Amino acid sequence: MGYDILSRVIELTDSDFALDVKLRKVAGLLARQLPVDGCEVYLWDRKDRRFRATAHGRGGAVEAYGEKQGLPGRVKKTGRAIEVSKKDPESCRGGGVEDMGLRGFRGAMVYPLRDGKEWYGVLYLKTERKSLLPGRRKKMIGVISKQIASSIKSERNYVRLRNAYNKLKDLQVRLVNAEKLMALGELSASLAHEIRNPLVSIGGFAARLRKKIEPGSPHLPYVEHISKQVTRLEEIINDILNFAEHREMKLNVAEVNAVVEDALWLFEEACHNQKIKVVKALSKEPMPVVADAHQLKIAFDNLIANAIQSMEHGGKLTVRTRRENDLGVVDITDSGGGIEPGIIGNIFNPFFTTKKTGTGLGLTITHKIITRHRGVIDVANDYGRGITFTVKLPCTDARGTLPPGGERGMKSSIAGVLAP
Amino acid sequence: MKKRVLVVDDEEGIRLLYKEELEEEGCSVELAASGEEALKRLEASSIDLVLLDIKMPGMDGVEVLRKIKEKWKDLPVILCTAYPHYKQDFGTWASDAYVVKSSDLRELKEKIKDILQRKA
Repeated sequence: MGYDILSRVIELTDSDFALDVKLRKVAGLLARQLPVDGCEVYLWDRKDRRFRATAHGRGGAVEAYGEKQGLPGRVKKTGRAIEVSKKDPESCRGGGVEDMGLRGFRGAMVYPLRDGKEWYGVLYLKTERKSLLPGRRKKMIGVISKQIASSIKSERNYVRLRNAYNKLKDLQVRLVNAEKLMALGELSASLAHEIRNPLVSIGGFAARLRKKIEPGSPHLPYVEHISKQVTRLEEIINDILNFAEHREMKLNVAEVNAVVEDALWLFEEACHNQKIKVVKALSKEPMPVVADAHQLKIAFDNLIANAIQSMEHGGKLTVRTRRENDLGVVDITDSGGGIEPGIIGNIFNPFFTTKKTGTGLGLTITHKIITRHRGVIDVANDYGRGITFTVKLPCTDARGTLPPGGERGMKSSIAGVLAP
Repeated sequence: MKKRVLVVDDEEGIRLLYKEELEEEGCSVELAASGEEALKRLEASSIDLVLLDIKMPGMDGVEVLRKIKEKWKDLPVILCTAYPHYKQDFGTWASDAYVVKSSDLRELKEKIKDILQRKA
């Protein structure tokens, strides 16, 4: 009979259930099969230094115990199983220890769930009867406790392994991306040169032909097409070269508000022409950053240009800046309807574009510039309404040095795409 | 008196394009397909301005620029190139202007006009 319980516990702990499900099933099994009236598993929370009720066999239980509280606290201190019995079921004291969990019971046994020095929690059994379990049974519960502990241990190891694996996988993807980008940079720089020269000839002679063709001639649109397409190719090449350029940053202290204002000024006319209302809410607090102001301006130019292009038929462009502790934060929101949720994850990838005439490098360049400034860029896509790009840059102190750890702890994300 | 411009580029199409366009602007245009040829032309005739490609087989534009400035200190040179990043190259600083090649020749023409006026 005892071995029957043991083998069923092993069966449960070896199963594929999640840890808390396993523990609940084991606690239920013990509460049913043993002559006890309550069975609980408390897991040790290393961060909070508390025992937390994770599984109930029967009846209610104390939610949590502090490190030195109640019978679990005592077991943690001595490292050994404890059993107490008392005459008055209504009292909360047993074995010289105050424990709210004892109310309504006459006896209790608490077993450590641990492996060497590593604590996982306690197994808490309670009875309303006078007599406790016979010695043989106690030994078996000791074995069951070890089994539960080793099950928790392997689960934790599994989680650790899986996290490490995920991290590695993530790193690999990023490495492959970085390699792709580098290869792209080298290839495109040499390619751009080879392509640019012929384009100058094609476009230049097309312009000469255009001058010679009579206005109203049916041939005029042909030449205009050539010119237009050449201009487009030239823009693509400029973007590629800007992207490939491994330029040293010329660092100075720049004011984020001024950079943003400058970028907005550049697009004033475009906004007016496209009937886009510009709402500007710039922070009055200074937001100095160590930056290559020229590059930073390109980054914001791209974001604003993108927003404007998404609102062909008018809309609202909101640019907001604010200081968040050590960070200067800029939100750029458009009302251009957003991007299909399925493809938003691609927006920083080179050559990805939703526009008819984009190069697909604007946001890639922006992302690169912001990252080089130890900042992050986040996207919130409100499909049907619009997109908000949020740029966070580490502000500097008055001496113009970068605060430490600007990169660490910050990670660009795309809302709704990356796992929470 | 027409201003004389020397166009140095290894691409035939670009030489022809610049020649026709600049002649329309009222310049007299001479052509050279390499750095070596350009230096020979400069010895042979008097030139007011040089348009110089950087990337050429044989002697490249930066080297040609250095030789020109050694010998004809005041002769203005405009560097034309497909790469914007030569701007950071010390070797190009001696040039009077730097133009990234484009099928739209307006910027180039403006720079030429500027420099020739300044010189006059």
